[in-house]
Amino acid sequence: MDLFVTVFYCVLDPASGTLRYANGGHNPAYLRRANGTIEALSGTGGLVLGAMGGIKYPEHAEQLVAGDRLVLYTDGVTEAFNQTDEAYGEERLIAEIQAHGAGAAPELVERICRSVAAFADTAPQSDDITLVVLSWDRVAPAVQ
Amino acid sequence: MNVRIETIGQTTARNSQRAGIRFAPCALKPAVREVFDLSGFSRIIALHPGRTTALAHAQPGKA
Repeated sequence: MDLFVTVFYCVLDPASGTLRYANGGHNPAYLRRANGTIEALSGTGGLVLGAMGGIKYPEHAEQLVAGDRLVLYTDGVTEAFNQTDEAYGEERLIAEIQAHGAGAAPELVERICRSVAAFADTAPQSDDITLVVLSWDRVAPAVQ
Repeated sequence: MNVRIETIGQTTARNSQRAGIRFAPCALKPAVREVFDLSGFSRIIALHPGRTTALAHAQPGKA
């Protein structure tokens, strides 16, 4: 069978708050900055894993600062359909992150889950729904 | 839904290659194009604006 998976792979340095990542065909992760602005992390469009060998994935980096929230999700979130076959979509997800991202990570996960469930209502779930939210509240140490 | 489009595209591309047939998708609707772009398939499968260029690309002997 021709199967493939998407991957968002990241390594966070807890000392510096530097997030290094690569993206293989996965949806863009969202970064909600402490000031409320939301950025879709660049670096999307890398090939999914399992389609072809020998593909190189460029490394990207973002500097997290206190108050930032990183939101990772599978497309089961944005492609949760309602009874009229409308997708939940990025805009609703971004609106939830915007409205509830100031709090701690568990609250934002809960808010998004509830929003998706309310949207899909009784429509059957079309894909797996996975959410990971990282709260970064550490103030970077002063440069020596 | 994305998975279905991607799987169809990938399987078609692979089967075409095996059979010596060129796969040249064209005139993708924006939502479908987005799936090809996000999944990275548009990096390995040439997409064409219209049928004319797709057919030209699919001609035997073309690079």
